[in-house]
Amino acid sequence: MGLNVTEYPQRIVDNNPLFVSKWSAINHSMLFKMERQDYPVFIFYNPVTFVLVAVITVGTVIDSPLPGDKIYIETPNASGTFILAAYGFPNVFTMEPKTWTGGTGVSGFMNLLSRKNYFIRTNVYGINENNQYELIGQNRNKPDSAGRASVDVSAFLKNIVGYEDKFQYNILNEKDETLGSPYNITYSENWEFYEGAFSGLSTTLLRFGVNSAKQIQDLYGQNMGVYVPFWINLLTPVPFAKFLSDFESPTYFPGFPFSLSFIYSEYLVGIQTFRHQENFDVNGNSVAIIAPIKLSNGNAQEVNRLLIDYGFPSIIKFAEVWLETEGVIDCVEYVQPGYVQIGYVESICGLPIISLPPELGNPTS
Amino acid sequence: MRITEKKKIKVDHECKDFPIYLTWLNSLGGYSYWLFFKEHSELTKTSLENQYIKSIEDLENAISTNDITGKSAEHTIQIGGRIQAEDMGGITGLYESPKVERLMNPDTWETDGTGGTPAPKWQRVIIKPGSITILKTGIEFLTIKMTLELPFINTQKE
Repeated sequence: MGLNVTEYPQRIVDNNPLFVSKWSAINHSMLFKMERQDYPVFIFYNPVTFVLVAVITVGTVIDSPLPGDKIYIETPNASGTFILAAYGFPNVFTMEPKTWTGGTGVSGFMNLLSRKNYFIRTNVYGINENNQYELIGQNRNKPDSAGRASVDVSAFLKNIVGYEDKFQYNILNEKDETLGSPYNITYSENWEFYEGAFSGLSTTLLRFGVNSAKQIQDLYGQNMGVYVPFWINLLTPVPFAKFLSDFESPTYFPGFPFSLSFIYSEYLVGIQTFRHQENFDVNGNSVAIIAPIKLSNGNAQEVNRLLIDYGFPSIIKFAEVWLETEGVIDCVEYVQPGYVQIGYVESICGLPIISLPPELGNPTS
Repeated sequence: MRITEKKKIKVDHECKDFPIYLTWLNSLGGYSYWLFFKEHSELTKTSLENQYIKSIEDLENAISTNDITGKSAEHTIQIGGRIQAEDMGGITGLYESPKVERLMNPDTWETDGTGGTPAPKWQRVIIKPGSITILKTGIEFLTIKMTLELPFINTQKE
């Protein structure tokens, strides 16, 4: 067993488990809830002698427990801290007599509180311009007496977003790294004289932060689920993602820069997505349908800026803009690190491969 | 298959005198825009740094009895206008945004880049804190006023 993440900063959208939003507002806490479970055990309890025996069912004891050490035991119905009376190598723990209300013949877990200065080390990684993980911070957390901890990564992500409009308004869509960032974490267990190995780092599956601030009682709380476009297949209707605009209907002033901001989600990686636009006159009559134009897929998994078609004759009073996909595969070019030629790109159909950071064995680009 | 809302974008063809075009980071993590025009005034506000009395040895040729080490100056622009009630959600976002930028090359931004490409030049401004009315029932237009604090003016210092 060991250490596991029991809850991620993500939300199910529209009560449909197919729609999982991993996009969080970084100006609020982004919590990974972790649980320490040193060993899975089977509990035997004698209600006459009050003696509880815990037998490890999987794994090997890597510590050297001694009589007098404190042990935390939890089952679905009860929990408690016990003093170790005797340790029968390799897996039998007999506790000093103490009342236990969790019954006998039940499964649970056991934590050795004799592990001094136990803490969780969490590495937080962003993605650099070469599509490679880059360490942006490290957290240390001590779990509570039941072995549970909440690891907040938002502070690290706030350091890598920006507050300056650098978009040049000359390309249909482009990722804006000031507005958010993909990230990932690894974690390890540590205590006195023991430094655990870090958990694995996925080379394809990411999580995401958006430089936004949600309000109390907002739908999905600090999660940006309302703004995440989903795609499963042509038969599965999806909730319509909102654009990141605080105007219900923004105004375009001809001759001035204008863009819409939107989350180009991981659900749209590797498939063709199109911007659609229809123009209307003052009476709401459709005047022109602009030909759909394909987005640059290499900018997915980031917050994007999107240009509209600006060619508005004076009779146009408003336009409607939206995104569509039919799920057609769209192989895209990503910068690949580790090649001699700087900026070498490779065509990938699907999720781009994120290179591991140097400290996890991958050379820098 | 449609995957986003249909976002309605109003087009304002009216010619605007003395435009002040602002963009801001909205609370949702995107950029928003608004064009203020006509109704604005620019002010400069100065203050003395240190004032001191001079020790005069030669009264006949002295040019003053006191002097200052420098002056600080800051410019502000007061903007405002009549805003449709349905746009006040966005204008409220502007008022509350911590990051607002003003377009400095409104006439030439479309060709200021290399080879005549777009290159908008933005300058950070601060919306002076205070309060504005954001909702008034039964009213279609609200009159708002805001003060933009521009970057400090550099002056010579002793």
